[in-house]
Amino acid sequence: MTDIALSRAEVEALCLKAARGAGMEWGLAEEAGFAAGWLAARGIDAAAELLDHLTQNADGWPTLSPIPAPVHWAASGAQLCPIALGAALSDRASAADGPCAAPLTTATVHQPILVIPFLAACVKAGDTALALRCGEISLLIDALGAPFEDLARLSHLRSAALSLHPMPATPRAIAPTALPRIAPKPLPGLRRWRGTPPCPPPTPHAKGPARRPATTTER
Amino acid sequence: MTHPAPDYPDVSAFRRPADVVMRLARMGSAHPSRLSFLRVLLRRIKSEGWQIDRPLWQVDANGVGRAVYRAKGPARTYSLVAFAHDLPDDQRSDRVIATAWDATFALFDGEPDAADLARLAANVPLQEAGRVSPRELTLARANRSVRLFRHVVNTLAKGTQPTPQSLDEVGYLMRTTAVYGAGKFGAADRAVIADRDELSTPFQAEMLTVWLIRAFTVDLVDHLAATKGGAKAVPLDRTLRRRLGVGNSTGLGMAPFLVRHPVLLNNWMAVREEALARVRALPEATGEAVQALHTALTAATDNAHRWRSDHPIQKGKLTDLRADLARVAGHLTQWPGTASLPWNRLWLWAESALTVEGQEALASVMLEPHGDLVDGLTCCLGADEAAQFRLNGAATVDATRAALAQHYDWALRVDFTLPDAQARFWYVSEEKLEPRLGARQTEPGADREQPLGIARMAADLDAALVAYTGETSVAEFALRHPEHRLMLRRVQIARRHPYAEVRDNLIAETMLPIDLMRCKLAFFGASHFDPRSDKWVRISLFQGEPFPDDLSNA
Repeated sequence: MTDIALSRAEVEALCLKAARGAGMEWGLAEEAGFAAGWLAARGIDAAAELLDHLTQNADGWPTLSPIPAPVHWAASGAQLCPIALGAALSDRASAADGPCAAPLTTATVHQPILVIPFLAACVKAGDTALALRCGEISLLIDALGAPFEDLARLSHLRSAALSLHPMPATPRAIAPTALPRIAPKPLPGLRRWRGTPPCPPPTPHAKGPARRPATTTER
Repeated sequence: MTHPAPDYPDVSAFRRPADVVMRLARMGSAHPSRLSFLRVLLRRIKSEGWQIDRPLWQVDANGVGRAVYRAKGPARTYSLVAFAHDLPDDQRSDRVIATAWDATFALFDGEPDAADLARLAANVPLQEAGRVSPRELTLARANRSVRLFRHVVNTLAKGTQPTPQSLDEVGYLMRTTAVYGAGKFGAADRAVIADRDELSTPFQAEMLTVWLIRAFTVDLVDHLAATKGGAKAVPLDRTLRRRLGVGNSTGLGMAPFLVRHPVLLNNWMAVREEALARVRALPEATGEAVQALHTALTAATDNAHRWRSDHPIQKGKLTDLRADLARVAGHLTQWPGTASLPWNRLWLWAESALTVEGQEALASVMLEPHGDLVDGLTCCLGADEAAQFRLNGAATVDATRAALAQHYDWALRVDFTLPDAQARFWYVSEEKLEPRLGARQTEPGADREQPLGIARMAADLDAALVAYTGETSVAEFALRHPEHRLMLRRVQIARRHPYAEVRDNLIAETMLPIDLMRCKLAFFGASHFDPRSDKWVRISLFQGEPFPDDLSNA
């Protein structure tokens, strides 16, 4: 099978819907779409990695959240969700104990490639750079992202702990890569998630019967 | 285009507040103006002297074939590739589930070669079932208005022109049922074209597509009339044809757009409100401007009389509009007078004397004489939405609650224990992935509700924040409450973008989705808004505007 060229908008929309369908809250599902789109725009097809993550964890999002602390971010469960971790790191981009201010390590992260877009958002907001060590792989993340080869190697790492060091920002040109392409294999899986009810009840107000609308039964 | 100096005087005292502007009833009375996207496109094409021609026309006697329309600007060339089909009458459907159309189109970035055309011929006629590439900016399709299309072909074939009345009754030869852009079905992402001057205003590729489709529809009737009538046939008269626009049939799919794009919505509204404020702040009304105002009012009045709808709500609004425009005409006999700030006086009079429909129509009419003052603002209509995406975790619970109190007081006042306050829910149909509205009490599916009930989400967020001390960071709160993350982002956007939120409850029993659609379509430049129910509408684009060869010959 040849790869399918998806636009970044399509990658974002597909991954947002898949993440929501797999039970992520809307705001985090948006972050999942952002992360997949960011990587796709840099030539990294992370669709399979996201699908793997969604499939493995669809029942346990709350236990994948990080516990931020100075020096080391632990996991509340066995592994950290890269989206929840990435969002929490990005939220603390300018905090005194945030990733741009002092070195920190994390518990094991599932599909760590998906954290990179958030680290790039951090360095943009924090006007710094970040040195990342993840398993055997080291890479420097600056406002433009990270070199394609490093990202490609990282995308093969299924889980690893992260070690982050803030660095002075040094302007570095990274050539934009080809248009987003993703392998066709994970597409059916992502599309299947797209239409599934989210795991946690959406809000305390939702009182509708827990069946889907009659018009949407086609699968 | 005149760009006003950056130190343009502060006119904020004349700007309407979001509590007035962002109500659904007022948004649902929006009128196109010179700031509308199709007007921006036509001004540019005219001022930059774009050359438009038709390098390919291969259409047979049955109206089947292909054509290319080439629009050459100073920096780049864009080509509309059109495929004309022979569609049996029983297959013609405006619904999004249709699988065949009278004509299908793509806007190509540059000039397509034979290989491009072959690739497009294999995909464009399939629409959603095909794929386009980053070389394409839009994908669109259109159906004939069977009655008018046939009538015009037959009339021209006999060597006579159709009557203006027969054209006005429908107003278009074809109506588009979808114009997709921004990365849909493999097309170029918005980011690919956002830096291009000529496409930086929103929806310029889509507007160019529709404008060239309009030329195609007239070429097609001329071609079929000539085939049918031979030497007797005449082409459609150049003055008459201006009465024809391109119809557009739009369902609920469009309604959530403005809610999903708060920064963009803010920028559209802010540009229009700044433009109106600038006009109101003018110290005098020159003779030239007064003359132009009268001309614009006459055009608006003519338009209101040609505007037809059978929908009870729209009929009432049209009655209001016609009466209001007559009132304005009467008032203008005494205006501008000699007192200060004549434009502001006119506006304040309108607020006290006219319905919302009339006020919004007058706002558009008042902008018309002041291109030098307001056209430069259209460079601010676009938005870098990605730049507003990151949540600022350093903000505090106090600051968030203060922002909710300031920008969402309309939402916090809603009593969500009342069934009517959340009678509906938005969901996405699995069949076509299109937004739909469900009734919460009687229909299943609320467990899959889309996050468009902003008022309730704001109230839920506020209630959750109460449990935290004021200095708690948003980062800390968001970690414990991922269910509020989406709304936290919106609140932070609203702090910087006062017109970002529709200030009405979008899941209330009384909510009318057509109000959202009319607002968006008015920014497109659509006229003759005609709801066919409270969930789908027909409109016309480019009616009364020039054709490509009108501009080239000018």
